[in-house]
Amino acid sequence: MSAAPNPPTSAPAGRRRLAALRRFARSRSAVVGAAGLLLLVAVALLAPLVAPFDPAAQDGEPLLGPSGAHLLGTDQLGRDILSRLIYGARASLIAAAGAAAVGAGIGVPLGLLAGYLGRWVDAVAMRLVDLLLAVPGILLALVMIVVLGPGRFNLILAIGIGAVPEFARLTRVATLGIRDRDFVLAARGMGASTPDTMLRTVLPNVLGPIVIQVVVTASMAVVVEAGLAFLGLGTPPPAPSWGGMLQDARSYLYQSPSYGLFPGLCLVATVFCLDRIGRGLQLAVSGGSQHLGTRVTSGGAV
Amino acid sequence: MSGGALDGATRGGTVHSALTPAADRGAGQPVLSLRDLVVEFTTPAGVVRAVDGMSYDVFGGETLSVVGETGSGKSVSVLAALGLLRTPNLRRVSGQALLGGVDLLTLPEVELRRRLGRDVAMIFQDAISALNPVQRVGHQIAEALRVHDRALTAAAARVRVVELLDMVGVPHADARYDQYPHQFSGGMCQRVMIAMAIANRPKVLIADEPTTALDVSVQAQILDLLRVAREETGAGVVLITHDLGVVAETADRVSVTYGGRIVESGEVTQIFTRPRHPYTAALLGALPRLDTAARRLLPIPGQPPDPSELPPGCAFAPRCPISQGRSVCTEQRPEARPGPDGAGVSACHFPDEAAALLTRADSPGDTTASVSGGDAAAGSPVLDVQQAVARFPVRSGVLARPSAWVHAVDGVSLRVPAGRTLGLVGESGCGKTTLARLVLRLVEPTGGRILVDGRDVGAAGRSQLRQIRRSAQMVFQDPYASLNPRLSVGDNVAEPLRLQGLPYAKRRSQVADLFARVGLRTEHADRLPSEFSGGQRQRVAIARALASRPGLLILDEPVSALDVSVQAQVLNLLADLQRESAMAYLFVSHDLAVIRQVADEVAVMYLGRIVESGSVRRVYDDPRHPYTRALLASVPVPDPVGRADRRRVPLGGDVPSPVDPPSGCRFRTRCPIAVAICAEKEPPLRLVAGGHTACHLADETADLTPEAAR
Repeated sequence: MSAAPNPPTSAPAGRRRLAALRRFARSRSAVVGAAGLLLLVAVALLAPLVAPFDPAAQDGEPLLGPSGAHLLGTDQLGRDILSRLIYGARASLIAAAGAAAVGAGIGVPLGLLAGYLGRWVDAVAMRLVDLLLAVPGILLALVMIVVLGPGRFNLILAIGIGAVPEFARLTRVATLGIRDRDFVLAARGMGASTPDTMLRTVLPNVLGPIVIQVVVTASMAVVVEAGLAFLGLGTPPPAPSWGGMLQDARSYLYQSPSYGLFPGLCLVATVFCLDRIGRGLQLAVSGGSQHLGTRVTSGGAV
Repeated sequence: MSGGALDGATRGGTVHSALTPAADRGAGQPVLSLRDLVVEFTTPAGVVRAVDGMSYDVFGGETLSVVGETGSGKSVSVLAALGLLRTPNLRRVSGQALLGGVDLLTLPEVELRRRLGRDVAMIFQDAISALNPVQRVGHQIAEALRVHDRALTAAAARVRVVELLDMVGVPHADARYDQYPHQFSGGMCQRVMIAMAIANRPKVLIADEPTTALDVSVQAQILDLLRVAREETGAGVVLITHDLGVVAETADRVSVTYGGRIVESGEVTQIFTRPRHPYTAALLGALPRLDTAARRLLPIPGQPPDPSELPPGCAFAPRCPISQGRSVCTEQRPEARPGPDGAGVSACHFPDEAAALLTRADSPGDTTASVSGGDAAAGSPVLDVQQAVARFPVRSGVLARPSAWVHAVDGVSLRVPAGRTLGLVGESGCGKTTLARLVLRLVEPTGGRILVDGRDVGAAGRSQLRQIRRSAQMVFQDPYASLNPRLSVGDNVAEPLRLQGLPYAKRRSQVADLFARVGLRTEHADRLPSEFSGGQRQRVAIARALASRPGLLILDEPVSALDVSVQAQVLNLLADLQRESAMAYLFVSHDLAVIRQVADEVAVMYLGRIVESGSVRRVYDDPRHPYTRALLASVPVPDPVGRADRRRVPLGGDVPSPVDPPSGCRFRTRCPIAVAICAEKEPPLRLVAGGHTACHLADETADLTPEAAR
């Protein structure tokens, strides 16, 4: 027997995570994006503490410009715009996270089954996905909300289902890429059952591109949510939402031009942050495993 | 290759070159010489010095072989010298690369490009991907001609290209001029590459692992062709390879690289018989030999050096058997010095002690690895394959009915008793890997029976199959692909245990035991596979296979992705494990020398059939099937002494398609002694001289050489 081999010594698990983090941080804008999103999440969580006014209280003059009392001014009913923006962030972020979760929750298992089992499962799953793809995402969401009725949960479901095809196809392609690799064959050769092989061996190796797709879907969901709210199909009126505020501001474009500016800026900032995070993740993932494709299809926003 | 013209030329060439080994070089200047070449890359781990002051000369008409293991800088040095290295993380290339007295490194781009392909030509390892897939083969060669000779007309170029194709042994050259690369086999593509390389009669031919991707029989053809090409053009050939057999068969002079430097260079016979560097001697000791009976290999301990942290002294010192404890080796870098008789150059502080290592390696003091057990036949076999068949449909469309069948395995029977090793040899595409996968039913069998420990694999239900897969484990060829990259190596090894439902703590302790058994450090169990080298990963894969205490290990080319020194470590490990636990091995390999080293019994496969089987001694020392003989004759022997007298009769042509195998004997299309009956009747595998041979002429040809039979 020969001498024990010795790769370089240092703490492995922590270093591994650090390396991924370093690759993420290689993109400056990704760090900016992550910081921005963190700030947004913190503000949304702490809304009752941060917001200067009750978002539903009509205690100011209507359509004021930015001033000392109302930093960003008031809307047509005299409600504080800053407070409404802060509470509105909750709606946007919940829609984003929820839609991504629904999309991944349905799409990933679907793609995994289709890619790994192949044959008729693949055919059925992919025709289902084609069916979804045949309808434009925003139209699909519109129809679903009209049928199910407006409301936060239905909104999330509608956007999430629209995101299923991308997750399913991405997972399927990644699965196909590693299905016949030796380590998957080795797992089967060890006596692993099919579900075990899929969950334990295949899934962790296709997660990279999926994580990126989650972020892309979230940013798409923010925009779609605002779009639906703009059309009056989002959360019902008294609750604040950025899309709804944009719709209100449209009517008072001449009286108070700054009203519509702020919700728009919030949307842009949020989408920018998510986009940059997606970019950073792409770097982090591709550095970890060059062999797996990191193709990500970006959702068509409104 | 039945077109006799080249055959004659090849054989004549062999004799000629053997008579004048570089006799005419002393007079002239070297055609290519590297001086103190340094190549550095920037990587996340810091600056990596891949080539660390490399110098060598090539003279016209001679073959210089640059031999070394993966990462020793042998390919990078040449690519850098020719300005072909274009990676964005290239940090610096310094030194000199003199081509006919002109330094290529200082030449402007345009000048350099004019010389590439005209004065220097390269032959790459992967010929199929080195050719442009959408351009006709003939046009590609013609382009190589016309780019350096604008006056050449298209018609004249075509005539010249057909001439060239004919010369490199492409049959029907005129018709094949208009074909695309995908219509050529791997060996034919390599011929086209060589034709392209010699098209402009270059002064230097650089062949970078030209035969590594090819089968032994085709490799022999290509090596002969390289010799012809050298004589035809009078070029100096730089043959970059890791295969000492190829070196011994073809080289006039040898330079051995290690850790980015040349540690020894000299005449080929001197290198192989009186090495003056311990690394060279150790490499020779680690090499499984085709021509000698099995002895225990002497692996080089440890791993090849990491180019990002080369030691200050001799790079080989940590693994060197003669440096032990000597401070000069670890502190002072040895300079390359010529030997007393002016022959070889060695970069070692103690060059005279190296040759002694060779004699030590040959001494019988080491116990033989595979002690032939007398109770081999006793008991039922662990693996019993009876007339196994595997066919794959060839479909032209998704829903179309299969238009043909690929007969990957076509009626194969094998038996492996406990504690013994059956070596399965064959060229690529002969069905040996499919057969190995059939045993675990990773490929669905089409017919026949496979019994593992008496249990029928084909008829097993789900839970029974799971049990069979526990008692028979597989080790794959590529250790980079066979481990789950997202699990730590410890978890990888623990996978079979987890599937058996063992609790975590128990798994941990068993993994520690397994790591110790295969020579890995337990502390490393939390690392990812990507942090390990190939040899270490293969140890992890072996540990994983051992975890469920199998009675049968299926080893599918377990060492062919590894370097010679590491390969010896793994082979010895496998031999030790077998002795400890009396596992049966089914060892699949294309490497005849490795099989001779490890196997008790050998089966030779050709196109889905076994053509010859028997004990190692019977098959290697008294081969009765012409295919076995041709294979054995094709393997380059790592011993330059007497290479001129050796009969090297390369097998002509390529393996026929398994979709439509020839009638009668499948080997008859390439067989040098085929007669009429071979086309009509398929020869059965019958008892001949203590082994089994499937040849009509097995008895008569016992004392005939293939040449005489012609």
